[in-house]
Amino acid sequence: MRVYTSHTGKEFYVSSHFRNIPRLGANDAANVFGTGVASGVVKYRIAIILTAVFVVSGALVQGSRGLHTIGALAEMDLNTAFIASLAAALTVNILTVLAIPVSTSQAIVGAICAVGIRGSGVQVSVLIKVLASWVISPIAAAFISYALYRILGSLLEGRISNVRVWSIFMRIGFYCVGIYGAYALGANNVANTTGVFLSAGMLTPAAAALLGGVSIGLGVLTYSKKVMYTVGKRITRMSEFAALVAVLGQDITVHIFSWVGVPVSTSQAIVGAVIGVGYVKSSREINFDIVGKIFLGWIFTPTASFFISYFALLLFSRFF
Amino acid sequence: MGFFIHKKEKHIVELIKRHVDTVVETVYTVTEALGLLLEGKKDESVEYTKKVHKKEHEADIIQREIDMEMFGGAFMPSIRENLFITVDIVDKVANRAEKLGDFITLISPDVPAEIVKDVRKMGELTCKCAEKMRDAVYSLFDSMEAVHEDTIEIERYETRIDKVAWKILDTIFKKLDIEKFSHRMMLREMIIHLSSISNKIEDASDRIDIIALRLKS
Repeated sequence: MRVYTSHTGKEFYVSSHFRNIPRLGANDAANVFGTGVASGVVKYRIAIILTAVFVVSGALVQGSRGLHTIGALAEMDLNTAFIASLAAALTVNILTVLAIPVSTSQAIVGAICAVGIRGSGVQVSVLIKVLASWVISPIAAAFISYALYRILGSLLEGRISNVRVWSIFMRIGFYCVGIYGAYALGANNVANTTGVFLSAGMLTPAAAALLGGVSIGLGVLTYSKKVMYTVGKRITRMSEFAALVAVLGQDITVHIFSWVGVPVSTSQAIVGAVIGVGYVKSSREINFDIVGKIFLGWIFTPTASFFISYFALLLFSRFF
Repeated sequence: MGFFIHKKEKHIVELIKRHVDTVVETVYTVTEALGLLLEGKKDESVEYTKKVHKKEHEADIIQREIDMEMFGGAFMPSIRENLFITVDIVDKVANRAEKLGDFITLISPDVPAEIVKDVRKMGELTCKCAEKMRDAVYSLFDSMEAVHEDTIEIERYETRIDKVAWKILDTIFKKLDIEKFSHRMMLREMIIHLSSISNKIEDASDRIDIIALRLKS
């Protein structure tokens, strides 16, 4: 397989790749401020600016671990890195059109695995760590949200003296949780955007974090409106306090996994968190259709991106 | 931006308190008009009902101002919606008082001495019920803990009012020797108008309870 190392080749790959990334950012950022925006507490314009700023901060400060994990999954060159990222983007778009729950983190890992299998192999220990994190993340989010709801609920019991105090508390809460969520998102998911190029040796960790963070930020600024309202409205069917706790639970989970160094799905984390909050009221609140969809996502997304990437690599090796 | 919303919310709270005060004044005024009717001072009673109209109109103006201010983005959306509905129901209490006032103006029925005491009692209880509604609305913005106690009190007053109303109706239809059936029906209508005020107050208290529960969930 030929490796393009010329300046023009790099520019072509990077520009093509970064055209795909913004949609990724839009999807994930919807989980962060969606609830606040859909409930009318946070203005959309302020939400996207805050998200963009704190996503970049998170990526720069804590994004390197995830980048290294993705980079360590398989050896890549510029061509295979580009094909993997293109396959992941295609998977996200196709599965979204087919209304199958999709995770960009899982799409990129599936695509990299195809590169590894066609190339010098996949780092099994890293892959096991990643797979375990996918399974654990929604479960962890459920437990964290459950505990948060119980703890915060009892801490606030009797302390919210009237409607105005409650309103102010919720308003501040939505801003703080949104900012923290954007930071955690940047720290965790930046690996999905530029991890492959770090592996290909094209970018330094700092450059990968900066470019990845900026591209997610751009996605938030340009594509996120519709997704943010849709996701937000789905979550705000709960009470505002429950929604706030669920989003906080998701943020903490995503942040924990950025320490672990594995990009996880924010969409699956928020579903887990909503289940955790719902369980406080009653186990009947759990929607098992949604749980089933998470399982579908675990199977469909990496499998689809694996095969798309595999066949793209096959075609590439035939013709070039 | 937060500061402006904080200021706006404070202004709305003042308006909501002023609105419920005006509604309670409307209820007081109509029961005073009813008291005059019971004393046989029909002309003075009719004159008093004009004050009821004035108070009800004042409440309407404040309600419109609240609506306009509230949809400018104050309070959390779920609370905003429930507050809007609550204010609307509280305003309907004034409308019911106005209807009773209209009835007094247009019909001014002769009230038999046998039921005067109970009708007066009903009026007093309705005023106390309205006062509790005011307390409950105030508690929403001052001390949430008191809301539930206030709404329970409203329910108690409403039950007592219903019992007295039933006793009066029983007297009108079974015990009193009233010559014309239309007279009985007019007295019945007056009692129904009066008891509809506390029924609306109870509706408002249910909404206030929902807001308090919403903050706890």
